[in-house]
Amino acid sequence: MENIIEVKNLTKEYKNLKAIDDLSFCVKKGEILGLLGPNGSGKSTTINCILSLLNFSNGEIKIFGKEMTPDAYDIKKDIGVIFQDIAVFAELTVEENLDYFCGLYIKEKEIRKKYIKDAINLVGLNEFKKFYPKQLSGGLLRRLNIACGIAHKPKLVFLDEPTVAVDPQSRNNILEGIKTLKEEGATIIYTTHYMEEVEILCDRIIILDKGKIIATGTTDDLKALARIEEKISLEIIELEKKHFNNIKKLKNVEEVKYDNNILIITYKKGEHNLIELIDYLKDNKINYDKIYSERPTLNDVFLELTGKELRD
Amino acid sequence: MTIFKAFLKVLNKNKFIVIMYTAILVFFGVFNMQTSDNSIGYISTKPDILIINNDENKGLTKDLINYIEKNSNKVEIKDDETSINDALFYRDVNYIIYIPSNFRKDFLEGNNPQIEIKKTGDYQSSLANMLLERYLKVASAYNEIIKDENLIIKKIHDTLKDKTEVELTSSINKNALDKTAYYYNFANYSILAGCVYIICIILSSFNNNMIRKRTIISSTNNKVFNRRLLLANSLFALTLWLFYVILSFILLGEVMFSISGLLYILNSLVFSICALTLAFLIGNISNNKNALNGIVNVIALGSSFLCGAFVPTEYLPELVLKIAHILPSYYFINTNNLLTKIEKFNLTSLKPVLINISIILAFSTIFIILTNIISKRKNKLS
Amino acid sequence: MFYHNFKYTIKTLLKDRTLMFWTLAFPLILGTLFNMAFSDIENKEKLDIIDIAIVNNTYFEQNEIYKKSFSNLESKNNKDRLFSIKYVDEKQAKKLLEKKKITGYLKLEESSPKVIIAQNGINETVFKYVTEEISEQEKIIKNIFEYKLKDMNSSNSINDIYNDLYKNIKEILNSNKVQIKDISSNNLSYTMIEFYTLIAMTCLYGGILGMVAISKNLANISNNGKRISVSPVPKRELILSSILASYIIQVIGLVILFLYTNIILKIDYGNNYLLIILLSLVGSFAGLCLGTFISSTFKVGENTKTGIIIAITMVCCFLSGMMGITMKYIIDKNIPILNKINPASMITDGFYSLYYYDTKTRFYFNVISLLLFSIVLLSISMLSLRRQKYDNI
Repeated sequence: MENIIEVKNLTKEYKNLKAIDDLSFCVKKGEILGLLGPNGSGKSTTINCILSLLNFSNGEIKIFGKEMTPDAYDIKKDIGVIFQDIAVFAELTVEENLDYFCGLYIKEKEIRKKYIKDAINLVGLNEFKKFYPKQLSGGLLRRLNIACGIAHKPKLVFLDEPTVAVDPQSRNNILEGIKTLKEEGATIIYTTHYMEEVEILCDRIIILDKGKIIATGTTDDLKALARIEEKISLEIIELEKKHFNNIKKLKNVEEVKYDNNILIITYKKGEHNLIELIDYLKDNKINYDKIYSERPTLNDVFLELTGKELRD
Repeated sequence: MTIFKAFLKVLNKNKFIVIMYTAILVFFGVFNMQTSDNSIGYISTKPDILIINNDENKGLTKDLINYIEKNSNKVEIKDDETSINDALFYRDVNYIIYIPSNFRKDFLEGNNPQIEIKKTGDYQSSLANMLLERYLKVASAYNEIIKDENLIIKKIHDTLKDKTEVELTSSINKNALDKTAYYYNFANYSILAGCVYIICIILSSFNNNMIRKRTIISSTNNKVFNRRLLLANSLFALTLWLFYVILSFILLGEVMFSISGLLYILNSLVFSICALTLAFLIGNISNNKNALNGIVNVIALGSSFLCGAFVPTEYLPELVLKIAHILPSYYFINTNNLLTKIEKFNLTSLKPVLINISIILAFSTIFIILTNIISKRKNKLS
Repeated sequence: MFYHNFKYTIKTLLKDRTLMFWTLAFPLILGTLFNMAFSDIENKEKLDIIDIAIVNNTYFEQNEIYKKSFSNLESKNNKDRLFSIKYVDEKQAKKLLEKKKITGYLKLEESSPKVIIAQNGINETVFKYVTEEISEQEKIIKNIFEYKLKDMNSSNSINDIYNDLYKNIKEILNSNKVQIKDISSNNLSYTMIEFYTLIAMTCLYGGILGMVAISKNLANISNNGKRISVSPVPKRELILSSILASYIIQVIGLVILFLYTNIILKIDYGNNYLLIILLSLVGSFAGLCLGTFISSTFKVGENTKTGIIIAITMVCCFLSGMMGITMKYIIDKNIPILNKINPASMITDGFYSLYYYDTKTRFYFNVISLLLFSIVLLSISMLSLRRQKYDNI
C-alpha cells in the first residue's frame, strides 16, 4: 500500500529537552493511525512538525510523496487539521466559520456550499447553523471545531485530541464522524490519551513516550506484548492465608494480590480460569461479592512497557 | 464571613488592577494639582507679557519696557518666531509687544509710530493691553506739551507711581481652598473610575453564572447575600476613600484641619457611598468585564466633564450645567465649590451644602432600590 | 482568496463589540464630552462686564473727571464697555459686596479714591486699574497745568487756562496717538488641541484593529492562526488582506469622527482638506504599524495586547496634551525629543500647524516623522511576520 506520510529520523529539541527523539514512521493510505501517549510525550509536537509549523533539528518529512514545506500549497490543500485547542471565530456563526475556513481551500462558491452542508451533517450541527460559538455547549463547540478542519474534504486528516473534555453523546458523534471520514477514503492520524478510543478506532497504533516510539502495531499486536492475558478481581471480606496460598497454586495463575478486601488474580494465559476459581471458592464455602474478569487494556501494555500509567 | 473571605480572595486576584488604577489616578491627580498654575481655571492677576524690542534700549523705550516688566510676569521664551507663536497659542504668554526700530525717535518727534502686538484675547491679554495703552497715553499727553525727554520720563513716573488704595474685606484663604476644591473635584473621577470599576469587576466575579446559581440554591437568602456583599464592598470603598483623604492631608496640609476641610471630607464620604451604590447597580446590570469597562469609563468621564471635575463649573456652558443636574457628581462638586466661598459656618450658610448632601443620599437610595429590583428579576429569570 | 479573507476580516472586526466600542464609539463620546466641557471656556476667559458700585457721596458728585469717565465706561454705546455700575450709599455698597453681587466698590475721599474689594482676582484688578487710570488723568492735568503756569504770562485767568488744558489733554488721551496694531493669528483657539489629540488617540487606538486582524493569522499567537497557517494560502496574502481590512475600518472610523467633530461640533481643522486627509491617513497608518508591531512581537494574550496598546496610546496622548493642553507645550519646551518620537504628538502637532501656521514646513516634518515611525515599527514586525516556521508554538 501507498505511503501517505513518511517521517524519517525526526528530532526536535528545545533548549535542553528532546521533545522528539529520532522518530521514524509511515502512514498508509486509508488507515487510521493512532498516536497514543501520555501528556507531554510529543504527540502534538510531532503533528506540528509534520505540518511544517515547527522547526525541527533533524529529519525528513514527506507527504503524498513530496517534501513538506510551509510553501507546499499543493500538499496543504489536501490536508485537514483539527487542533487540540478550539480554533473558531467568536464573531462568526457556525455557518460563517465553516465558510471562512473552507474558503481558504475551496474557491468555487457552489462546491463550498455543498461541502459545508456535508460537514454540518457529519458532526450533527444542523440545528445550530446560525448560532455563535458562545451559544454552543462544550461538546457542540468541539464538533464545530472538527467540522472547520474537515469541511474541505481533505485526503489526510490530523486529529489532535478531539475528544478532550467532551460529553459522551458528543464523543460518540465525533467518533462516528471519524469512521465516516475513513469510509470516504481519508487517511487519518489520531492522537489521544484515551486508549479506549484508539482500540475502537485505529487500524494501527504507535505508542509514544518521551518523544520515542516504544511500540507499534495493531491493537492485538500490542496486547500480545503484555504478558498477562486475563485479570480477575473480586471482593472477599476475609480471606484466610491458607486459601490465599491455595489460589496462588491454581492453574495459570501468575500473580495474586489481596488488599483492602479485594483479591486480584492475574493469569498468564489459558481458558476457563474464572470457572476454576469460582469452583474453588464454592468448595471452600468462601463468600464473595462483585466479581470481574478483564482482558488486558492498552494501559496495561503501556504500564508493562514504561512502568507508568498512561493518564499520569 | 464566607462571603467576606471570598470577597477578599477575588480582590486579591484583581489586586493588579486595583493598584494600577489607584496609581494612575493618584499620578494624574497630583500631577494636575502641581501644574494647575498653567492649566485652565487658574487666573493670575498679572499678565504674562513678552517684549520684543527692535529699538535701542534707551530713554523712553527703556522706560516703557521697565514699566511693563514691573507690572507683568516675565516669560522666558526662546528667541525665534515659532517658539513665540507656540508660546502664545499655549498661553505661556498672553501678550507680545513688538517695539519697532526708531520708536523712541518717532514718538518724541510726534510721528505716531505703530506698535504691533499679538494677544490671546483672554482676561490677561486685556489687562496687558490696558497697561500698554495707559503708558502710551500718559506719555503722549506729556509729549504734546513738554519737549524734554528726561522731563517727560520724570513726569510719567510721577503720574504712574500713585496706586489706588485698596481695601480687602474677605479674610479666607481663597488660594488654598481653591486647591482643595480642585483636589476633591478631581476625586470625583478617581472615585467613579477607580472604585466603581473595581467593585464592578469583583461583583462580576460573584455574579458569574456558576457562582450565582450556587448562591441562589444555598441556604443564604438572596437579600442577606446582597447585604453581606454590600458590606464587604463598603469596607473596600471606605478604604479607598480613606486613602484619598489621607493623600489630601499630605498634599494640602493645613487647610484640611479647618471646618472647611472637615466638610470636604464629609462630602467625599457621602459621595463615596453614592458611588458604591452606583457600582452595585452597574455590577448587577452586566457581568461582561469588557462591557463594564466601557460603561464605567463613559459614566466616570461623562460625569467628570459635565459636572466640572476637570473644567471649573464657571467655564461650562449653561446648558451643560443644566444637564449635569441629573448626575450625583454635580451636587458633590457643587458643594466643593461652595465651600471655597463660605466664610462663616452657620445653618444659613450651610443650607445649600446640606441640600446637596441630601440629594446625593437620595440618589444612593434610588440606586439601591433599582439594584434590588434588577437582582430579584434576574434570579427568577435564570 | 485575498477578497475572501478581506471580507471575513472586516466581518469579524465589525462584530467584535468591545473593539468597536473602543475604536469607534469611545472617541465619539469623548469628543462630545470635550465639546460640552470646553466649548465655552475661551468666551468665558474674555473680559466680561464687571458689576461694581460707587458710593455717591459729595466728593464723587463734585468730581467731573470721575463722573464722566465712569459714565463713559458703563455707557451701552461704548464698544469697550467695562462696567455695570450701581450708585448707592456706602451701607448698601457693603451689603452688595457681602452678597457677592458686585466685584467691589469705589469710594472717593478727600485725598484719594479707595477701592474696596472682597478678594483678589482679575475683575478686581481691572477695577483697580481703571480707577488708577482716571486718577492719573487728574494728575496729568495738574502736572501740565503747573508746568504751563511757569512760562505763561498771567494775562488770561487761571481758570481759563485750566479749562483749555483740560479739554486739550482729554483730547490727547482719547486720540491714541500711538497705534496698537494686533497682528495675532485668528486661529488661537487652544481647545482645538483637545480634538487634535482625540484624532491622534483614534489613530493609535485603531492599531487594536490591526493587532486583532493580524493575530488571527499567526500560528505562534492564536489557535485560529495555527489553523489558518496549515491552509494552502500564502501568508503574505493573508496578512496583507487582513491589514488592508483593518486599515479601511480604521479610516472609516476616523472619517466618522472627523465629520462629526467638523460638522456637528464645529471643530476647525483649517481649510487645507487635502493635507488633512494626508495627515489622517498617515496617522492611521502609524497606529496600524503600532498594532502590527505589538501583535507580532509580544507573545501575550490578546487582551493584554489591547491593554498594552491602550496604555501606550494614553501615555502618548497625555504627553501631547489630552489631559491638559499645556502638557504638550511643556514637553516641547523642555524635552523636545520626547514629542519627536511620540506619534500622538506628531499627529496633534500636524493638525496644530495646519490650523495655526501658514507655512507647511512644520506640517511636513510631522508627516515625515510619522512615516519614519511607521517604517521602523513595520521593519521590526517584518522580522517576525516573515517567519513561517516557529521554534515554539
